[in-house]
Amino acid sequence: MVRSAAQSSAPDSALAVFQERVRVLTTLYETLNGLMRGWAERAEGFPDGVQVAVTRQYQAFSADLFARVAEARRDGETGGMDASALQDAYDHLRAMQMFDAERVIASIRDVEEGRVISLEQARRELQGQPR
Amino acid sequence: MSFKVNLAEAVWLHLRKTLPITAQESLLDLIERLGEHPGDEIDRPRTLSARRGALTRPIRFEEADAFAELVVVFQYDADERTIHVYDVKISRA
Repeated sequence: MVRSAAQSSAPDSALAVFQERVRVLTTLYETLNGLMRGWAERAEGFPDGVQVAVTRQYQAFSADLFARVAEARRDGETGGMDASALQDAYDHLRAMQMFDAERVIASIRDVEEGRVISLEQARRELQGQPR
Repeated sequence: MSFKVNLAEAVWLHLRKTLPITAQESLLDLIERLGEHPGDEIDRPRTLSARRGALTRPIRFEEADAFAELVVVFQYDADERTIHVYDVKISRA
């Protein structure tokens, strides 16, 4: 029996669709990352409230992208296709979802104003705690 | 070459409220490792908190079963040989 061209190329088609999906996602990630880097370089002169608001805005954008990256990663795993190009985007976007912009800014103020605790101090405090 | 590591008070207070003591100890071990080998951990900028050079690095957190991954946001000051930790987050797998 002779297989039609469409039948014989079906697996390759699925792979091509997946590879294009990965290419789009990595490009979107790199673009968003570049925009965030640009903002980070300009952000220093802005009030804390603006920085928190912009960070949350970027977190919202990256939440959408993270969901798509995570889905593609899962699909790649289940379909036996290589999604390793998404790993950096996955790691970074996942980390971004975990940030609390207000606490990061509060921490930066802590450091600027000398409210810091050394690792040694932290360990001593822990040793004094009841278990 | 090791680096002095400081935790911002806001981070420390947060950790004290939200993490069990054993997990805090494991976390301090990991952060200490970061101070001992900053070059191993700081491989590229992480941009969300890149202000003032803050970087983040996801770290596998295997010591405590309850937690799967750790993200530390820190600033690396090579001139003063100090790492300031701005934020710490732990996620389940």
